[in-house]
Amino acid sequence: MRPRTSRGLLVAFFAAYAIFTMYPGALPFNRIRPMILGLPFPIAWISGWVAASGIALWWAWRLDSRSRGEE
Amino acid sequence: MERWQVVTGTVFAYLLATLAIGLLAGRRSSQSVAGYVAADRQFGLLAMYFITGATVFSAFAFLGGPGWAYSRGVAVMYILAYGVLGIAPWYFTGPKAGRIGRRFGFVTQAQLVVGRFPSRALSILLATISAAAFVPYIMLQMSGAGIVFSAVTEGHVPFWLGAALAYAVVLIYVLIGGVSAVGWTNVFQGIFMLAVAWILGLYIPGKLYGGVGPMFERIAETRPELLLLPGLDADGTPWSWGAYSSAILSSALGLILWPHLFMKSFTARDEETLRRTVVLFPTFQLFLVPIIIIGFAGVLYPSPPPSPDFIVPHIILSAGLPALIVGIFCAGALSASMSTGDALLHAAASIAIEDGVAPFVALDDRRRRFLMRLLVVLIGGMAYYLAIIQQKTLVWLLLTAYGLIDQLAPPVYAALYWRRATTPGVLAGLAAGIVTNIFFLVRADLRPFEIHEGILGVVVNTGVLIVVSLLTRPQDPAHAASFVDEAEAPRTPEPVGAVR
Repeated sequence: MRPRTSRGLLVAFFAAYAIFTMYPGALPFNRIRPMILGLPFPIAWISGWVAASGIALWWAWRLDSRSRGEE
Repeated sequence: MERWQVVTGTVFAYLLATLAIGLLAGRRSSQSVAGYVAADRQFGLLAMYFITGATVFSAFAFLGGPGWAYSRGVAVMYILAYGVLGIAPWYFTGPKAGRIGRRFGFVTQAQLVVGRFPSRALSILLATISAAAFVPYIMLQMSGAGIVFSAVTEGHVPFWLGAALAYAVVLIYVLIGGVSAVGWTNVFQGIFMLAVAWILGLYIPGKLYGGVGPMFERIAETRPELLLLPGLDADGTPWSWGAYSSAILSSALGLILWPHLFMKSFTARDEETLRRTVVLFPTFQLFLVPIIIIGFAGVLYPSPPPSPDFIVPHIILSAGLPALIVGIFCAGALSASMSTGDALLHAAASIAIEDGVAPFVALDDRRRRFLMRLLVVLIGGMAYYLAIIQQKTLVWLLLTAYGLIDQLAPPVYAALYWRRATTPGVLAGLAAGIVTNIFFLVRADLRPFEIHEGILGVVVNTGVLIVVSLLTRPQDPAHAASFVDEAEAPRTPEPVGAVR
């Protein structure tokens, strides 16, 4: 029914998300500059992960709805 | 007309609009309990999207978020980080819970757990946890409304009256319209909050410091410690990575287990709607960015607010902004408070009846609806009373709430995903988790690496659940499979409080 690919994609993405927004994955990115769109790097870094999660979820949803269409 | 009168007028216009929408929406839903609790399972995508967003973003996000940015710097990013992490499992769990709910006629989260693990003790325990966690959360929302009113009308509308006014409107539409009213008013409030956040988030730094970039450049020169993770603790010393990381984890874990959010899986029209809500959720989450920016605007502001939670009202009032902007902000913050408060009130009453009373007393549909409405008033009244008389223990209560809600994770996930889990295992795990949680709440000094007590509780909870389950007799495989594999049930179990 549900393809394994979307589940694999999401699990991998959110595992990375958890590591890179928290200890210890966030450590190398913990500096004020460069500022991005006027935002200090840590704020831009976490906001970027949130935005990327939107793309990952959308991608998984596309995979799922396509495979449902073929059934 | 005086300034505060323009502000108050704007707010009243907003309250009237909310009331009108709530009353109109209530007329659309049917008269059954399923209609009152689960809106006949008829919410479409647009409604679900704003309902979830508006419910998740409470007065804490609107006032507490900027307050954190102002006093604790980038520690506030934990709020942004946990939301997406918390909602993601819902992509799979939400549709699954929804399918099982439709099949057995479940309208609450506890019914799902007790349906899999039949036990009256479990039903009462779950109802108690929910109630214990809800009351301080409702109090927080009411205080938020009171703070906004009293700050922005310059004291002309006192704290108690502000909270009472906002929640009188909530009571009226929740009582008359049930979840339909909650849903459609949340759509309105969600759109309103979103617009207010982005407009003010860009307008305030621009007006005060010439833009977002120049503002952060100045903070980097004067207070660089605010811009490095994990930010500062409440007392101004650096926060620990353990506390920051486990704050994200415990909030993410608890997010969808809040019964008022979990129950949304039973109100969605179909699973596609639920999945799309999850997919769109990060767009809603990003609206916290401008709110956080407003909080940072307070760092450079010449005069300090009475407390960090007042930073946004403080800036807005003292920066000489037009009265209409002040009124719109006030209405936006009220939206945040009311859109969470209404869902909480409604869910608390539904759960108390469905899980605390209905399994033990025979109730017909009409009496159940009546009792539910009575409880909405009682719970609302109690939370209001507590919010007025004691604000000091609020933070302590709220922390207790989050730790308690986290303890629902092992039972819910075991019910949906683990065939071998047994009723004694779930009960023992839940009890052990609650005890652990409360122990580390009281003895915070004993927490390893400053890890949040909710997470410590969940670790013990899960361990005990697994060990005791493996030591006790397995469930009937067909019964377990009807939840885990969603196989056809051998015989339909009598669902607690089934109404269809």
